[in-house]
Amino acid sequence: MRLRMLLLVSLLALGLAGCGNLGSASGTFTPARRGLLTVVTQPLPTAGFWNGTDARPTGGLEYGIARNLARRLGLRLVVRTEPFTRIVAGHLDGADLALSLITPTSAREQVLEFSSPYINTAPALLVRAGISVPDLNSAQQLRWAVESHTTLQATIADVIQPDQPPLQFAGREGVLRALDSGRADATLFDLPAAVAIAHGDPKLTVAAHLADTEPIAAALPPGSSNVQAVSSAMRAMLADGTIDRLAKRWLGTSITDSEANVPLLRTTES
Amino acid sequence: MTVASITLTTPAGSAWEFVVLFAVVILGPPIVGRARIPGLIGLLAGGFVIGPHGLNLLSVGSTTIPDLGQLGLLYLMFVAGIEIDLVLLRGHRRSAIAFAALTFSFPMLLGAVVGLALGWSTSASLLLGSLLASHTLVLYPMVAHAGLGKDPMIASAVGATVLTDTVTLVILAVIAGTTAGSGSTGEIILTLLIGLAVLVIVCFAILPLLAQRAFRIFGSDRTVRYVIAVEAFLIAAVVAEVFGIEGIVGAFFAGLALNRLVPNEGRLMDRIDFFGSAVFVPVFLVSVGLLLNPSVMIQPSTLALAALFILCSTGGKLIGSILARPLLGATAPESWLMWALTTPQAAATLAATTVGFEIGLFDETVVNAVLVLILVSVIVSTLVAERTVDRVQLPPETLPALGQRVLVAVADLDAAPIAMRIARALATAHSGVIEIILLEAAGSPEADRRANLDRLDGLCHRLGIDAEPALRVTDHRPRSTMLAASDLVASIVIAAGFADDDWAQTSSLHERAPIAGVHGTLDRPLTAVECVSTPPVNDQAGYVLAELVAVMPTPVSTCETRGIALLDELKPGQLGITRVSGWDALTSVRAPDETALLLLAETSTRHAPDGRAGHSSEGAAARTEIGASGSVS
Repeated sequence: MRLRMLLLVSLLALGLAGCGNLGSASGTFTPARRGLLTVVTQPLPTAGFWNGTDARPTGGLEYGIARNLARRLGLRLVVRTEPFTRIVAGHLDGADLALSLITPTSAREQVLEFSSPYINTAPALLVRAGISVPDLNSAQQLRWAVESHTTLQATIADVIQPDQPPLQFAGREGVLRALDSGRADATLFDLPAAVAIAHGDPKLTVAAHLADTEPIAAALPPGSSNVQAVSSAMRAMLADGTIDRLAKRWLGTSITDSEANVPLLRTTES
Repeated sequence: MTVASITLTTPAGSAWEFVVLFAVVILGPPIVGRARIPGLIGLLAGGFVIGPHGLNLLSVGSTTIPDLGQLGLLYLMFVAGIEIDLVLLRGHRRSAIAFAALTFSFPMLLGAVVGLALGWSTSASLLLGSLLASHTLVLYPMVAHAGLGKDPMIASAVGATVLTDTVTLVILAVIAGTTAGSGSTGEIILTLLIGLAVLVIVCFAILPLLAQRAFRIFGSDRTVRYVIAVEAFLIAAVVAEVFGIEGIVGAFFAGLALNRLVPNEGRLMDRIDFFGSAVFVPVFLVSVGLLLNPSVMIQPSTLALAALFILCSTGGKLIGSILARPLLGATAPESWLMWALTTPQAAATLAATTVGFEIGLFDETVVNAVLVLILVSVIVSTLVAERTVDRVQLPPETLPALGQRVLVAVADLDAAPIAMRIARALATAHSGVIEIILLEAAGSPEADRRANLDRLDGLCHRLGIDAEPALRVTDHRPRSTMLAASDLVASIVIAAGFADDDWAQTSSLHERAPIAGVHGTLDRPLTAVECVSTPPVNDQAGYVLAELVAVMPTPVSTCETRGIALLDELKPGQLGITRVSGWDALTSVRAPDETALLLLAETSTRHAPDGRAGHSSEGAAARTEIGASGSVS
């Protein structure tokens, strides 16, 4: 009996030694710069997600997530901006992670690592006020605008299949200007983003959402050892209601409610 | 994709995901089964194959399988609660509690200490300890098949499971609640305490009553009975979640609460098992398999962590089993078999790990290390059980509890209601099942037989009895009844409305089940019937009589008159319970109008191997109680 106990204790000690670098059950985080959590996002503002200016972010859902993440990791938050196309091309340029409404795709996974999603949401149709989209046929007859290099570009082409080719813009500002000026009738955004934009612009409204949801996750540099720690933190923020509270504050609705309050556009895939 | 002039679409959507999922359910278990590895490992591995780290057959962002997996997790814990043999726990209460303490405390302690030594948070360390201390009775079917189900030590290990799983889930509830809850620690703990109290009241006081009533009112359709069971655990899960407690705790408690209403060998349990095995549980296991990531699993740190988990869990349980020898009087083979039974990690471990992952307490490394632990614990314990099972001495044969499988043989439909009510009371008391046969004379018209069978079926629905009456055409009702009793391995036969039948001719057939004859047309709930019994006598028939009296839902008054003389004492609305010495009396007696009689044939009582009339330990407890008080109440 004593020998067995000795053997058990010895094996435990060996195992503990082998796990020397596992400081946390939820993963360890090593910042790129000591004491700082550097987060990159597309140029501000992104209504409801990043408010304020590049130099001085003031609020927003993703800004709140970044702040909460920094607090959980015991780091100070630093925010930098890069064009969306550069971010999804893997150019984080020394940042720890990117929070910029990024949907993981297999192409992006070649150049980035992704955390657990913090939002699972459907694409939504943001249209000029007064336009109704009761069915797919009506949607196809609209003039569409889309931000290039986003997954929504492919969704418009594959799911909506508009009668005219959509207008393409490098950034979301161009898309919104096209809607404001009447050059385009509709665009697709992730539902929470569409809700936030419509919340701040009475000339726009969210007409419908599509059935299939897409995850939105934090992007990390390829090979980053911080993926698990960031993923655990995202799951913890979902579980303890942090993200829902942030959504209510900055988007005016919870993530789950937003889908329930907007009609579903039936397509051939739904 | 375009091939020649044909345009093909890449498969996607829910239908495709279910095609892939069911392919895993069909192929996974048999493939690993060839290597004698339990099917659950095949499902976990299948999840990996179709998941993002394998062939990536599910579309990015699809939540169908993970969402359904959450329902599967609730279902799994409900089944874990409802399948536990509470009769064994009651019969071996002390040794089960003692062994539960042993088999839980050492892995819990080792796991928590290792977690803290690794620098984990207290919550993560405690959750680790509790999940390593839980176990799933993966190997119980093998052990029971070997005839060791009634071995006192094995029964203690089985009984201990309900306690270890409950403690694990309560720890999980507290940790998940405090980790994911908002507000001050005091507020969270108060909410959890109130929540647990409400949950216990809802599950153990309200749900069984509601379920029983719902079975009676809506349960005529067997599908509806199943849906009622599902609804019950979902209600419990929702109540738990309202108070910030994980839904699986509610589902498990609901399983324990309905345990008595849903006997393991009953038809409803068959349906629960069927849907669980076909859809819900596989979906959960496959959804966990989606997290399996070989690139994480083969990392030295993951393997080292898995090795620690294995050491803490199997080592801690080994210490518990070894200590069971001097403390509980287990033999060496018994203690090895207890270890093998309580080592496999599956349901509760997966549940706690999944929740720990979802609330951000555990990362992928921990999940993958736990999956290695599950694999190793199941394989090693299977090997040990196979080598040990033959070395444990078979326990002396004991007769099943009287209500374990009650056969109601109906010769007269007018006597069926009271007979079926008595059968239901007996089966409920012993978590047993009811089998019903309708005996029709060989020359009777086919249409009459069908009509009578439909009537009996309707009666089952009205009384909330989950049984499917079978028709037996016979030219000798007692013989057919006793052959049916042998077929169905009945623990008692309740013969309803047999008149002038010759039971004596069946003497060579009725060695096993005691026979009780029911006469009379009293059709009222037992709670509304006044029961009168003759005093129990200290012989075999007396013991069986005492057990029959003990299951009556209202106090039974005792009449000093013995045997069929009770007839004269019966008043309208009363049910008389007594013993009769001869076979003739069993069928020749007629109950007065507005009364009913339950007659127990003395010559039909069964013999235990040691010469005593024996049933279960529960039966023994009932006998002791009756003997001590000298009267039945």
